[in-house]
Amino acid sequence: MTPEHRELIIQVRSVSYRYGGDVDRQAISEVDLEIRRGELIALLGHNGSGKSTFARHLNGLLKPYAGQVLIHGLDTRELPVHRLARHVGYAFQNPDDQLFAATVAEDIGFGPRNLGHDAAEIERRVGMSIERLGLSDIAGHHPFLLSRSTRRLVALAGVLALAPEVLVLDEPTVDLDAWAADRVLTVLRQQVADGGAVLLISHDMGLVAATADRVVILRGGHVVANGPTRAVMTDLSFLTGNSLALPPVTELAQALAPHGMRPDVLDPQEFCDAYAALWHARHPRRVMSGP
Amino acid sequence: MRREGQTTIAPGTVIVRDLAFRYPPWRPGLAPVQALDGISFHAEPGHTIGIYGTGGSGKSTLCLALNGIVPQATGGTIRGEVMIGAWSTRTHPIAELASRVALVLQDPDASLIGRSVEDEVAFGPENLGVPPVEIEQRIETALDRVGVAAYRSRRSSQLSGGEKQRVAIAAALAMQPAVLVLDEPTAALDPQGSAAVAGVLRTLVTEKRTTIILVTQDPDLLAALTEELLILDAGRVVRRGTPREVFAHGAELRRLGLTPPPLANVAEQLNAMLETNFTFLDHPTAVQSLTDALRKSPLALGDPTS
Repeated sequence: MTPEHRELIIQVRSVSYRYGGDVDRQAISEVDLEIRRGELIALLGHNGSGKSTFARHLNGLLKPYAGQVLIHGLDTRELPVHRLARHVGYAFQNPDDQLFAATVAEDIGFGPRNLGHDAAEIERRVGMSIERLGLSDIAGHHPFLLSRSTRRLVALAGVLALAPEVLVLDEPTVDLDAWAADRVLTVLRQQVADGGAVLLISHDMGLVAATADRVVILRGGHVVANGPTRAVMTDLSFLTGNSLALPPVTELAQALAPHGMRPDVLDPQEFCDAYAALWHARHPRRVMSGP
Repeated sequence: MRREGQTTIAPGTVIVRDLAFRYPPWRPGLAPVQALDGISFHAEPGHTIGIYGTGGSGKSTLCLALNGIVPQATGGTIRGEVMIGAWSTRTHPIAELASRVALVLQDPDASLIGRSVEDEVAFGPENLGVPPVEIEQRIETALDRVGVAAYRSRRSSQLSGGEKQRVAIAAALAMQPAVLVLDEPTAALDPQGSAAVAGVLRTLVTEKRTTIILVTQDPDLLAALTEELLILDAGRVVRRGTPREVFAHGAELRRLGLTPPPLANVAEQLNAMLETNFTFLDHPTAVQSLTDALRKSPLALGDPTS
């Protein structure tokens, strides 16, 4: 099935928003976006470009000043927040914005309990979230006694327990150690494989290049790019024009392009494969050589 | 250099000697939590030391031990010594230590209280009893250094995460500390914000000879800024050296849950594929090494046409 034929979950139509009605602080302007099943979309842009404002429209935390956000065709203005929570789960950048219960398991169970699920279902969901994020050893701990890395995983587990169709993650891997970051990536891939969708807000060009199917770039509240990851993330002049950088391995590949390196690699594996091919072509007898 | 007691020791000299610390048990009857165990390092003014470790490895506790919060405000059991100049952080009053050691935390909301940016920055020097005229100068210089001078009269609560973190750094700089301790200072910043902070830290080192202790999960930042890197695991230093030395141990770092810089990973992976010996960490050295390796075809040795 081609991406365009997958079922549409969210449709953002020409949405604008300004804080406190202040015309000088138009946060986002006429943003259009479609999110379909099985898609991992990355949202890029600087601090203040409107990423978080945009993301808060998807779960109804903010309602558009103009335009519409439709979830399965229903306007978020007309859907109560608890209905929206079944469709869109939002993991905040700062886990302490959402953690409050006395134990990790209780915190994770808060969402499903609020959605009115019965005890068995709550337990099943909490167990599933704890399992997927590898938190079973600390399920009885107080969230605030955990390291920040682990608190972020707990916050994400709480969102997963809502079993949302679309998972919105704001900088999910920042200040995470490698184990925690790996778990988050596994969750993202699983969400997409299970037929859900992910909107990944990140500054990490390497992470975006290695995970996203599609990249949307916001600048000053406007969408300035919305296209396949390889096309957007390897376009040096476009990215620098928007004060963004190439992913590190893409930048390296482009610097080596005059020597025959393919300039559109996105992740370290692609880079190494392409460089190795080039290297073998120049060293046909496979003699050892140092840098 | 400033005379303190009998010895001449710069206020920016940081000596940590066999530091071990246990938090008091968080519930009566439970065991105390061992956070640090046998940490030693030494930094002279103008040095930048990097601390890298997973969540819970003791990084944040170490930061708090440098300004005396650990153990003076936390309680707990401490062994060994942390000296800032000639002051021991175990016994020297925290308020005085604050004039010498500034701490920037990972969450700017932990240090900002939602007033105007200039008030946030003035807060520290006011508490140190700095004269108003000088405070004014310090605000100006500090805001300018981190590039948020334009927000001077905005309320800090209205700023974005990245802007707040820069204000928090400006507030630390206004203390004119000899030692700057930063715990994840760029976690909330975009790449330009991170680059701006890195630039500020470089200037402080070269112009002010500030001693910098940098805790971050950003391996690129550690590679770019630090002379010595300590890897912390379960409260112990398990490896130390220059970033190049430390990041050459990719497999060991990954076992500890840490990531080497992306380009160091590329070097390691190529070495495994090609039996090469690349050690680059950053873009310029990577371009140089990888280009050289393509040019230096062994065939060229016996074949003048290639």
